Amino acid sequence: MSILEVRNLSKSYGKGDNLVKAVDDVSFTVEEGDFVAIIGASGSGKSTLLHMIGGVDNPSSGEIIVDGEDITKYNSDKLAIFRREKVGIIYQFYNLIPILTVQENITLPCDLAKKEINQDYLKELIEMLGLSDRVKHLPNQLSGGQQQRVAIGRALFGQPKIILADEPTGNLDKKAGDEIVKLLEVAHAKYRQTIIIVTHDISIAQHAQRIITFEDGKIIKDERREEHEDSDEAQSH
Amino acid sequence: MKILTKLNRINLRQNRARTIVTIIGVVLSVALILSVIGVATSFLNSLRLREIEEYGDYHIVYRDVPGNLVSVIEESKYANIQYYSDHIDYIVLEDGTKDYYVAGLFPRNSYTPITDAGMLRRDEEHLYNVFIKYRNPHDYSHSEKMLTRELRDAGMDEIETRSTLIATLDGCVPETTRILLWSLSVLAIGTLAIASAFVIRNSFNISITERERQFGMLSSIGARPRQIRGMVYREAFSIGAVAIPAGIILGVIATLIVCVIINKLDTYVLGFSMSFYIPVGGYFLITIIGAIIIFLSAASPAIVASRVSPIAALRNEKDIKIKAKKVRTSKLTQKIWGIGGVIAAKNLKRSRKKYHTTIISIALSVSVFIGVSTLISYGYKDIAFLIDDIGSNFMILGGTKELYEDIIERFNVKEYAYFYESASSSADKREPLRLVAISKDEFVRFAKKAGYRGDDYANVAILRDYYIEYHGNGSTSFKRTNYKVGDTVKLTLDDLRRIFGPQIENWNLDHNEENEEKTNSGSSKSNVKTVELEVTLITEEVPLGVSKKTSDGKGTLYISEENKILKDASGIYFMIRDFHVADSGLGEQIGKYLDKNRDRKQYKDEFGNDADYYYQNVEIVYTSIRNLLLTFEILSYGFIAIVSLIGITNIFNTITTNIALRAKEFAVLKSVGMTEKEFGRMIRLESAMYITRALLIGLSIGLLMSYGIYKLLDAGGAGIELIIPWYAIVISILAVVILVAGTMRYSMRQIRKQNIIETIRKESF
Repeated sequence: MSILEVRNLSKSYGKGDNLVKAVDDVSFTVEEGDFVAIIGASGSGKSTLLHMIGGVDNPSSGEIIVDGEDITKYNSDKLAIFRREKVGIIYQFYNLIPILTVQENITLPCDLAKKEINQDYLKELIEMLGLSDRVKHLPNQLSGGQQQRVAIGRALFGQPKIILADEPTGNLDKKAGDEIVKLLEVAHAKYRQTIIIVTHDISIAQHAQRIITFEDGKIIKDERREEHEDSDEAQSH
Repeated sequence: MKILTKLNRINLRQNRARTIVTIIGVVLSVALILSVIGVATSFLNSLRLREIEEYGDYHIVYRDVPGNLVSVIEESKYANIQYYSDHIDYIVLEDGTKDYYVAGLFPRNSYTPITDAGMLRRDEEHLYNVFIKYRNPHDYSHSEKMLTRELRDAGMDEIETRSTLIATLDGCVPETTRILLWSLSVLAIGTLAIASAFVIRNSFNISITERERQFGMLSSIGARPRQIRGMVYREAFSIGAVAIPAGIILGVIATLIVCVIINKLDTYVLGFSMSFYIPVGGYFLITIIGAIIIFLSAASPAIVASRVSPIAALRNEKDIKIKAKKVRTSKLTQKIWGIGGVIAAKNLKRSRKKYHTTIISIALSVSVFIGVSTLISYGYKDIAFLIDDIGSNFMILGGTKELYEDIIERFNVKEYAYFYESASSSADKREPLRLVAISKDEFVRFAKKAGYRGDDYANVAILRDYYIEYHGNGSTSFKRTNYKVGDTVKLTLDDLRRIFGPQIENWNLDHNEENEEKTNSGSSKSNVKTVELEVTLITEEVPLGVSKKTSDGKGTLYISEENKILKDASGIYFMIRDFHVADSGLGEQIGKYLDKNRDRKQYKDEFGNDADYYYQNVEIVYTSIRNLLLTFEILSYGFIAIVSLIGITNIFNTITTNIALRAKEFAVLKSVGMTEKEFGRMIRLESAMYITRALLIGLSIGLLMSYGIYKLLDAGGAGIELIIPWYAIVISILAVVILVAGTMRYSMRQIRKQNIIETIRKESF
């Protein structure tokens, strides 16, 4: 069953001679539980695509159907609720709230939705993220890798249908970056969440089951890497 | 260097709203300070003009200077003789048969005092009054000493000098009024300058915070601290260059308006008209004050900016400095307000310093507003006490019945009252009462008001049994007599001749000469008369011309002038006391008429004896007092309004910038699913939190000020009521809520327009 369907999606900036098509008539489908990497050079439009799927940017035309509903038809309130319930977004620069502690940042979407916080799940998640001794810290007291793990925690905590990661390792060194990708893989395996990751780093994309290559706002290649799933499963068992 | 100037210009333009609001703040401060100076200098100048008009524009007069010594003064390097006059003020024409030829009239020069009659050719024999202007009035005491010495040396013994005008001259040694006026102005200016500097500094601070990265970047590529300080000062200079001249223009306009308002409303109490006057020095002073305010405002932000370390700015260490403890909030906050409340509370804790400025600005405006409102309320209460009492618009104390009747007829007075007073004491050892007779028309009106339904007015006695007892310590209390309706009152009336002496017959009494008993010697016999009256009614009402709020220390029994006690009174038991006209607008005519006639012999003959009287145009006095109060009100509310406006510019700048700086944080909140509604709720909560704090502080200080004013006014035990300025409290709460809500709305609209992802991507936190 497809969790996401993108139909003829376009996003352009400017007018006339200055018209730039960041995303140009793109269509594809993502199955539930899939781990997809979108790769491409910087400026290829891959991040714009991700942001539109996450409901933080508006397309110029086209449809984005998540879980059977076209989110481009949503008003701002419905879109906000969509963002806190259906997707979790991880940015390159973490974008945590500086005045909230690690734990508060992680539970933020749940608090916004006024949902009861599942303490066992929270504890398990924080342990998995390796942040057990950091829960009361503020983001600025953490390293970049730790901050990104908090961002992952925030994206995972609401158990959304899709996790969207926008260059999650772009601001980190190799070691911290690898850890982040591992975490995403573990989350994918453990919670069976759909993950879409945008990156320009092919070695990171290698962790995904499917790689979509982007260039000038268009998909130029879309390949499935069957062997990855096996190794992934082997790892988690 | 050029590039820094360009950066500045771009920066000012980019933050146009804040730049404009800052400029408005400076303009208002400068204008307000200039108008304080302007009102003070105009007031002094008007005083001087009046002084010149009444006495002449000399600085000093030497009286009785012999003709030959006038030249000593003339030649002195210390004095300029304005003119000298002969000692004779008027000439008595001794021989009525001689013909005099009037050769001409000496026109009155602008500098000639009304009191000096003529100017004569100087000769040696006469004594002259020499009117002098000092060459250097600022050094008048020295000039006076030197001049006096010169005269003494020339042989003049006694020198009588008199200075009048000197006190109102610019830059002269001050006398009391001047000291008071200037110390008040200096106090006001000082407070304003400090408050303004505080407010403007805040907007510079905001501007610096916003550009911290820019400063860090500049510093990382080699800009020296001095250059960065220079950038801030240059920004301050551009603001000053626009705002100070604009402030001066506005200040001049404001001063002109104040002069016009004062002249429109009042000339009676002030005694002269206000004419606009600001000396050149005033403009110079305000420019310097403005420059100092701006410099002081920019100094500390400039230093802060120049100390920004490049790497700290680039990494934005501000957030790194936050400690988790500092922004800790209670579980309760989360329970009650949800995550929005937690973020709002934490944010207030994080930007404590920034919010302090806003909170202080609000609290300051609120407390000043409440304090001044209280003062005005007391002023009004006092005036109301005087005005609403008597119902009389014109009154004559003393005079005769004939005089009153003449006025009533001549001016067609519709509503009036006059009173006869007696000197009464109790004849049966009960409480003493005053016996007062009222003119018959007013008595009818009064009796009806008191509830009398009959028509036997000549035999009605109405008791006002409600009176005020004055205690030794200055306090008062309200009392009632123990008389009841139907009681018979026995009073002994004293012959007024016994009290005032026989000359009272020549005064203003109104008595029945036919019934008068004369003694053998021909002088009036002093006796007492006992009367009995039945209390028909007891009332708290008062007739026209009688105050409800004051009384003698006993009850008053009112009868009509038609009562037979008056008719039968043999001897002088009643004396006409006062006359009140309730009709409005007649005062001026009656006053003029009285002035014209009071000294005419014929008039005296016609209206009896040497009756002396005193009249008061109550209406004009009250209107004038009301106008003065209104002027006071306009000035003080104007002052509050502008102080509040300066506060508002500050509040506007703080709130809008704070929201703008947090745009990214808001975008992140939205990206993880905060709806517009929740976002609005969070912002409202945050506003509510600091509004509550600001109001609590402002209202407490304001109420303390009110209580202080009450204590001050009540110091004499005058029995003043404590006023709680409810309406001022309500107004200030409403105003603050509306202001903050409006500003929040404005900044939220700015944010709402922004695209989430573009905002997030802008820069890091």
